[in-house]
Amino acid sequence: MKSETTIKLKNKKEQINLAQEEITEFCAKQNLSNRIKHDLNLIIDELFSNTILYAYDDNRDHFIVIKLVRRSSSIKIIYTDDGVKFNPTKYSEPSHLSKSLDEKPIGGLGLHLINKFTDRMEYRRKGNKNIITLEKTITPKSQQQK
Amino acid sequence: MEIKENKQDAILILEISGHLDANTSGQLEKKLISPIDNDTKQIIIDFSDLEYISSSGLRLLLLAAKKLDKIDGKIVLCSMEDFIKEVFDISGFTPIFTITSSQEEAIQQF
Repeated sequence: MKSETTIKLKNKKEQINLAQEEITEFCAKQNLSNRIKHDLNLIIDELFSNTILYAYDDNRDHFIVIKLVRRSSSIKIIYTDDGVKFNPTKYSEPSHLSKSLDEKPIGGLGLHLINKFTDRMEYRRKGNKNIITLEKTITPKSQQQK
Repeated sequence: MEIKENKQDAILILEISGHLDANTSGQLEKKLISPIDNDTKQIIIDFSDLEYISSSGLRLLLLAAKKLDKIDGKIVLCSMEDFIKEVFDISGFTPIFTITSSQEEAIQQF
């Protein structure tokens, strides 16, 4: 069982709506649970937010390409942008997770969530592109949660 | 995202549905932060129909909690799906919020 879809977005934050529609369609076609749909939405939202906020220092149009590949027991996400070099695997767990309300800084959570909701992450820089490959395992449990 | 606003006595109740993400958190910010700045001290956010929350949504809730803390106010979150609760757990947000399973229980927290 293998099937894939490719989502192409402009570097405008409203384009996340388009990604969400495509994810919903992909999950319906692949008979994936709401749980998996939730996780895919979250991962892609965090990646795309990072790109929008930090990847570009010009006012030009750019394209972000997201490929979703269904495998028998996992989903592969290949996320490509042409922004400044950014390696998300060189990330360390934020130190503020257990801090109290007063001490908690506002921010720094996106990469932490991506890391926790995926099982594997690889990064490579090819030409002017960041290519992030993530793998999300589909467990019987995650597939049951509707 | 859709936001329904209700009031019960002094409590502002916001029922949010759809996606609370980078693109929509601005909508909730208007409905949530302005009342706090105008001295609303008791707030419930009902997550019954929320499909997902991203770090932008979490940041906004943290901002609201910090502001309320300064004026002796309180925010209660209710009716979260398990997968939303998991995002709170992973982010270290669960201990800093009062989270109840229903809106009725949330009202009793005030």
